[in-house]
Amino acid sequence: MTGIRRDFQKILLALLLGALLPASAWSKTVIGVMMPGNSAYFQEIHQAFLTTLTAKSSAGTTFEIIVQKPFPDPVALSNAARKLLAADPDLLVTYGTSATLAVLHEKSHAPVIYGGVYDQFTAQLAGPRATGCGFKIPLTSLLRHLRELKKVETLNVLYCSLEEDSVRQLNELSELAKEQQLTLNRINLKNREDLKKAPLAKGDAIFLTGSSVVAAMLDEILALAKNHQQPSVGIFPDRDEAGITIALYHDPLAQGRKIAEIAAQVLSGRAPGDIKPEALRNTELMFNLKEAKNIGVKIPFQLVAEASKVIK
Amino acid sequence: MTTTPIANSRIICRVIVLLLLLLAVPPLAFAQTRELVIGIEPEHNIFTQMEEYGQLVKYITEKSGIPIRLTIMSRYGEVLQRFKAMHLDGAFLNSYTATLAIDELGMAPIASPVSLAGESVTRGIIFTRRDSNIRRIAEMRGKSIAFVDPATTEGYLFPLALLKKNGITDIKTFFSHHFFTGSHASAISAVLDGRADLGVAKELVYQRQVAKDPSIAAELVILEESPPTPETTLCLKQDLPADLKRKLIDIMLEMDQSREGMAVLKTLGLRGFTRADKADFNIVRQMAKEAGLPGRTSKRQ
Repeated sequence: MTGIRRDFQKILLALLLGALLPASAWSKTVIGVMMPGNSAYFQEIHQAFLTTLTAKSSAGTTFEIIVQKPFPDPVALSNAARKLLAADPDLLVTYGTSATLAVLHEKSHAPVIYGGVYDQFTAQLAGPRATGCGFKIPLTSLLRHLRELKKVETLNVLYCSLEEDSVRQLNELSELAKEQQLTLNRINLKNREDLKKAPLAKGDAIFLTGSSVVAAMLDEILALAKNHQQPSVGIFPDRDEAGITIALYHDPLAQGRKIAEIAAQVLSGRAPGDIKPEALRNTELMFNLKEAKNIGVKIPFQLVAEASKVIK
Repeated sequence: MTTTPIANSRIICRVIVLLLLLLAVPPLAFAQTRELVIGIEPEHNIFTQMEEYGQLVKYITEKSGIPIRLTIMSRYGEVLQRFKAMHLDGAFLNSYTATLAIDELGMAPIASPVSLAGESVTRGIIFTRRDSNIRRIAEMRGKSIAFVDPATTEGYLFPLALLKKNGITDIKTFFSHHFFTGSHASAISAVLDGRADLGVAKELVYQRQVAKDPSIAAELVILEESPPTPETTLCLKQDLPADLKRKLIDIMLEMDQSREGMAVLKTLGLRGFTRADKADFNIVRQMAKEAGLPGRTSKRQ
């Protein structure tokens, strides 16, 4: 009898302790992440997001992060979105417009926070379920800097028609090309075969749009650029110093921190529709002097003085 | 006709006296043979500046016989140290460093350029990208800004005074971050690139950039403009001979009256030069007072 009473007391004590513990100690927050093409830029945003979110969370909070890295074609994106939703996430984090649209297309109540989106206001992603932050790069400036290196009449634009952000940049460049009497040689890269067939010789320089597919072939593209003695410009940072001549980019860490701030608000109960999406604008400018020399162009001293980062 | 030994000795005496007189030369004659060292501040592309000013000093040298060497200063405001530490005889100075040089070093303003529009003044401007949605001072809060240099009127003093007038006393807390680009052209470039939300620069440099690339005017919008301030002014050391200074002034003021002078002015994009006066810089002294920069008001007026 005494034994039964002791067991009963133990169960009662456990229940009381349980009631006193914070809810976070009991529940795990499940975050579904969609990162198309395993892009290095998105990975940097994601790392900063995780670090900031962990730092912002109260002690004892645990996160289960489920990451999907599909190839950015509609079927793969849709399948990845369904897999994430099957895990019944508390929050979905998406990188780039295509991933965000794929997730929003599925029926779900899970809030969506997006990052790494180019010109998000044109993309019109924000709504009752979704908010986040995007970035915009003044492509005119990149063209201006490029023309200080070399006379450019025809520009090879490497993009991927599967990725909305990349297409939006191509469209923006097309408008600028009309104003600036510039001919665009549009090269759609969906796989390595496309790159092998790419008529790069037609152009004077290479413009790398912010595409995960283009980024995945960066080394091969830059080898071809060197063969054709063409400078390259891009809107993602060249962290591995692969050899992009000029990069004008938005700091991915700042984007990661921003989406973590938004995620913390959503996880504490705020509706995504009540959080204004943010456009991050401050950019950084990088010149690769070593690569410029390799392809036979000289970056003017005055231009180098403008740089946030110089690779020698 | 024959000459006596006495007459010969008189001639020799006269020659000796003449030589002695030449040895006891007035300062002007000394200055005419000695090289003048003139400094330039890094307003835009330093190579272009050296080329432009190079043509001007070549013209002055040809007209005056005074050799002039140009030296570019690494940054604005350096002139004050250079005058104290090095053998600098004068400099083309922006209105703020000119004011400091006049008031603190007793330098003499000599001549200011007159633009093709007939103005010898410029203005400071605050600008942003057209797509930034910043249109008023209140909307500048939390944004980033590119200044030129703490020793420039248009690139620092003017925005500082304007912000103070609008109740903003601490730029460190008002802006998310601020930085100095070192030249007006770089401040414009920083905003075009998106490296800063806002920028400040000299209007004349902005107009020059727009003339070179008209798309800049479509990308940027000017939010604020300063009152007119003196253009870059040639200032010379007070202790240089008065007739040397007068000679230089005359040559510069009369440039538009000769074909060679007009050719140089054309390359500089100027109509001519006008006489500069200490009182021209009162507006700068006023701005310094408004900006709350102590100890930089006139000492010698």
